[in-house]
Amino acid sequence: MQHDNHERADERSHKRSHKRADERAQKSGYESGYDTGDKRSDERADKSGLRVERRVDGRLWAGRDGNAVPVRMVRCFPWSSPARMLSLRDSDDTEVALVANLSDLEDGSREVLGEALLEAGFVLDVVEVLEIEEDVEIRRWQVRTRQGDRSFQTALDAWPRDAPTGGLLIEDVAGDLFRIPPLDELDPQSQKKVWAFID
Amino acid sequence: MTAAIRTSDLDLFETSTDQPSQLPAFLRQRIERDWGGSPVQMYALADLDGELAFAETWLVLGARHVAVARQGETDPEPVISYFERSEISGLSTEDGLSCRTLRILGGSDAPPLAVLRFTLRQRRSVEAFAFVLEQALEGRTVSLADADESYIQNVIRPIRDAQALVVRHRLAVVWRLLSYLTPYRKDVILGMGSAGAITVLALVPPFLTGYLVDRVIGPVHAGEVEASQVAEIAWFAVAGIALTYVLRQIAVWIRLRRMAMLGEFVARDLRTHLYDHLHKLSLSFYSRKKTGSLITRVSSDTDRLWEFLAFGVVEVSLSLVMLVGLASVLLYLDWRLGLVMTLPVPFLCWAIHLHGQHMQKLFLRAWRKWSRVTDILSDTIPGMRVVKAFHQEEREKQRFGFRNYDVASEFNRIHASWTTFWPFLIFGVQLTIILVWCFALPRLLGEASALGPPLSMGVFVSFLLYMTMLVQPIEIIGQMARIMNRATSSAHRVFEVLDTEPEVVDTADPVKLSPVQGEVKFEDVSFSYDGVRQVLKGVSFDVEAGELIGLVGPSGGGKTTLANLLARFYDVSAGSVRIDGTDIRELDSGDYRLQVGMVLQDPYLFHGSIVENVSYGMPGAGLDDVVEAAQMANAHDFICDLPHGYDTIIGERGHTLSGGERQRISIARAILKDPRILILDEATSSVDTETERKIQQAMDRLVTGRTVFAIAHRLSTLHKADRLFVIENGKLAEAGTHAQLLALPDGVYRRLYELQKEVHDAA
Repeated sequence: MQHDNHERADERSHKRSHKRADERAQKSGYESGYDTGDKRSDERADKSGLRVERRVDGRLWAGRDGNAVPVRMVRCFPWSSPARMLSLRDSDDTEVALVANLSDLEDGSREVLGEALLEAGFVLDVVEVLEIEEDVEIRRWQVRTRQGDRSFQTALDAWPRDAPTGGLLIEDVAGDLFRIPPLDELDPQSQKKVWAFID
Repeated sequence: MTAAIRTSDLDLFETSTDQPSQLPAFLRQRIERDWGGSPVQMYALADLDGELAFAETWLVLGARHVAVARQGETDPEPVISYFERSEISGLSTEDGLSCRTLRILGGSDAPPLAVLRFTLRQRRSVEAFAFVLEQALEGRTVSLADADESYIQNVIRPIRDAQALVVRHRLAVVWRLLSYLTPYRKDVILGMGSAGAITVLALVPPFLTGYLVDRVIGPVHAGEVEASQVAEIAWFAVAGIALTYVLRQIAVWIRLRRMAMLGEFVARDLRTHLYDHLHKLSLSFYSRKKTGSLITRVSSDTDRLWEFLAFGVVEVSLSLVMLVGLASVLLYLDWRLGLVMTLPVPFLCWAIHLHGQHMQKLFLRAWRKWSRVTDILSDTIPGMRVVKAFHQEEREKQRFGFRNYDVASEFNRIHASWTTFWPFLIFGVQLTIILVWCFALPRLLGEASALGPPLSMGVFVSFLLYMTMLVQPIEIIGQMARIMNRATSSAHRVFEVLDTEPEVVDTADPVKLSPVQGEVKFEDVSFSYDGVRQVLKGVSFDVEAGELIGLVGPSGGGKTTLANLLARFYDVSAGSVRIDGTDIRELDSGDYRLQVGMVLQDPYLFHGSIVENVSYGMPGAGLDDVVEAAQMANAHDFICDLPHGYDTIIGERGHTLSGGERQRISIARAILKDPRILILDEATSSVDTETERKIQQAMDRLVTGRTVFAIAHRLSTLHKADRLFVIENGKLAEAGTHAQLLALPDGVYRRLYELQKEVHDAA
C-alpha cells in the first residue's frame, strides 16, 4: 500500500497556477474579477475583523476573534460583480460573513478569497471553433479551449448569452460554460462557424 | 467493458465526449493487484488539474480502499495514491461555474486525502462517488451497480435527457416509420402506383407534340402530304394528349386523396399509440421531460410525420423517377442534346443544396433573434400588472421595439438571399435552354456538323417542353436532406417515448383488494429518484385501517415521496410497502388507485364544467351525489353563486376560481370517489384564514372512516390526527401522538411546534 504526498503537491501546483491565472484574470478582469472596491473600504477592513484562511485540510475557514468555522464561498453576483458581495456560509448554510469588497479584508484573507474566486469563476475558454453540427434535438460543438480540445452538446434552443466582459457564454447540457471570445478575436474559419450565434 | 452496457450508450459516449469510456484496463489491474485482488466497485473521472487544465485523474473505490490515479503530463506512467476508507473523516465540496472541487478529508489537522477538480460533465459520477462515501460515514451501505455502466450512464445522462435519439442511423428510423404503412398496404400500392403513373404520363404530351410537328404539321407545311391524309392521325394524337391529361388528373386525384388520407391514418395511429403509451409511463418520465416537449411530440411531430408520409416520401421518390425518366427520354430522342440538358442537372441540384445550407444558417440566426422577441412577450404579457404597477411600459416598449427591428432585419437578410438565388437558378435553367438552342440551331437549319446530324423540329419542340419539367424535381431533390432531417427528428422524438418502458408495472397475475381495508405497513423502505441519492432511508411503520396520520417535518425531508410510494407512483428501491398485508407491487395498480384519493397543495382541475371535475373519478355519479359531495366540501354555496352553477366551465379558457375554491372542488372530487386511503398533501397551505377554516371543515368530513395520510406544515391543521410521523432527512425521526411528541425534550416535532407557536403568538 503506497501513500504519497500527491495531494499536497496538487495543492502547491494549484497555488502556483493561481498566481499565473491571477495575472491573466487581472488582465481580463473576468475570472477573479478583482474589482477590489474603493480606497475607503481599506479602512473598513480592520474594523470587520474577519479572517479567511485556507487551512491545512484544504478547506476555507472564516471567523472573527479566533472563532473560525469551515465555510464555502457564494458569489452573490457571479456575473455582474463577481468579486463583490461574497457570502461565506457554514455547513448549515448560515451566513458567517458577507464580504462587500475584497479590499475590506486584510492581505492574507484577500489573497485566499481571490484564489477561491478564480476557481469559482472558472469557465472553459474557447480559442477556436472546429465544428458545429446539428443533431436530433441537440447541437454538437467541437472546440479548442485554453484547457484543451473539447466536444460538447447544447440544446437547440440554448442560445449563447453575452458574457459580462465581452464575447459570449454558452452552456452545454451538463451545465459547463464555454466562453467564446468576441468575433474579431477568432480566426476566420471559427468566425464563419459561429456567425449565426453572434450579433 | 461489461456486457451490461448497451452499444447505443457506448456509441453516444464515444461520439459525445473526449474522455475514456472506462477506467483503463491496466490501471484497474494494477489497482486491484495492489488491493490484494479486491475488485474495483466504482470509479469517477476528475478532468481538471490544479492549474484548471484538462487532466485525467481517476477516483477509484474498493471495498476498503480508495485510489487516486493521476496520468502525468510527461510521464506516461500514472501516479497512484491509496488510502483506506476508514481514514476518511469527511468530504468538502466547493462549487464554481464550471469547476467543482471535492476534498476527501483525513484528520482534522491533516492535509486532505485527495483533492479532485472536475467540470460539470463529471458531476454526477463524482457526486455519486461522494454519496457512497458520505453514506459509509453515516454507517449506511449503498448497493452499487456495475462500475463501468454507472460511469457511462452518469456522463451521458444529460445528453440522453436533452436528446431523443432512438438509433444513430437515419435510415433505420425512416424504415421504422415506413413500417407504420404496413396495415395500409393496398393504399400505399395504389398511391405509389398513381404517383408513378403521373410521372410516366407527364412524359407523354411532349412526345406526342413532337410527333405531331414532325409527322403532321411539318410535312403538311412542306407540301409533302395533303392535310386530309394526316388529319385523322393528328386528331388521334390530340385525343391521345387529351386522354393523357385526363388519366393524369385521375392519377393525381387518387394519389393526393389516398396518400393524404393514408398519412392521416398513420399520424392518427402514431398519436393514439403515443398517447396510450404516455398513460402507461411512470411519473419519473414526466419529471425528466418538459410538458411542452411531450405535447409537441403528440401534436406537431405526428403532424410533420403525416406531411412526410403523405407527400415527402412520394415527392422525393417521384422526383428521382422523374429526373431519371426525363434524362432517359431526352437521351433516347437525341443523345447529344440530351447530354447538353442533363449534364447541368447535378450542378443545379448541388447549387440548391448549398443554398439550403446557407439559408439554414440565416434561419438559425433569425430564430435566435426571434426567440428574443418571444422572450419579451412571454415575460411581459403574463406580468402586465407588474409592468403597469411599476410604470415600465416605455422601457418594455423600447426593449421590444429594438428586438423587433433586429429580427425584421434578419428576416430581410433571408429574403434578400432567396430572392437573389432563385432568379439566378432559373437563369441557370434558361442558360441550359440557350445552350440547347446553340447546339440545336445549326442542326435545325439542316446542316450536318460536328454537333450532329440535322434535327427535326418535332424532336426540338419535345425538348423545349421537357425542359420546363426539369425545375420542380431539381428543387425537391435539392431540399431532400432538409425534408429527411425534419422527418427523422420528429420520428426520433416520437419513438423515444414509445421505446420508454414504464418503471411501475403490474405482475402477470395482480391481486385485487376489494375493497381495500386501509391497513398500511412500511417495512424498511428506502427510495431514490436517481438511483444514487436516497430520499427515504429505511422507513418502517404500521398504520391501522381508519387511522389519521399526520406527516410533518422540514421541507425536502421525504414526506411527499412517502405519499408517492403509497399511491404507487414509484416502486420502492428497497424494503416493501404492504396494503392489508399484500405487497403493493403485487396489487393491480389500476384497481388499487381507484381506492386511493389525493388532495394536493395545488389542485389540478381540468378544462370542463364543475360537475365534470367533481365526478372525474366517478364518471357515472348522479347529480345528487355530486351536490352532496360539494356540500360536504363546503363548495356548494360558491358554486350556486356562479351564473352557470355546476355547469360553469373552469380551466384556462373558462371561469377563474380562487385557490380556496379550486381546493374545495378537489376535496369534493375526493369525497365523491370515497377512497379507502386518502392522501392530503399540504391541502390548506396558501389560503386565507376563513378559507382555511372552510377547507378544514370539509377535510374533517372527508377523513372520517378511512385511512388518511395528511402532510402539513401548519401543525395546527393536524389537531385530529391519531398519530404524527416526523420525517426528517428521509428517516422516520419520531412517531406518536401530539402529546407524546411534545414530551420529547429535544424532539424535532417539539422544536417545530414551538417555532410555529412563537410565530403565531408574535402575529
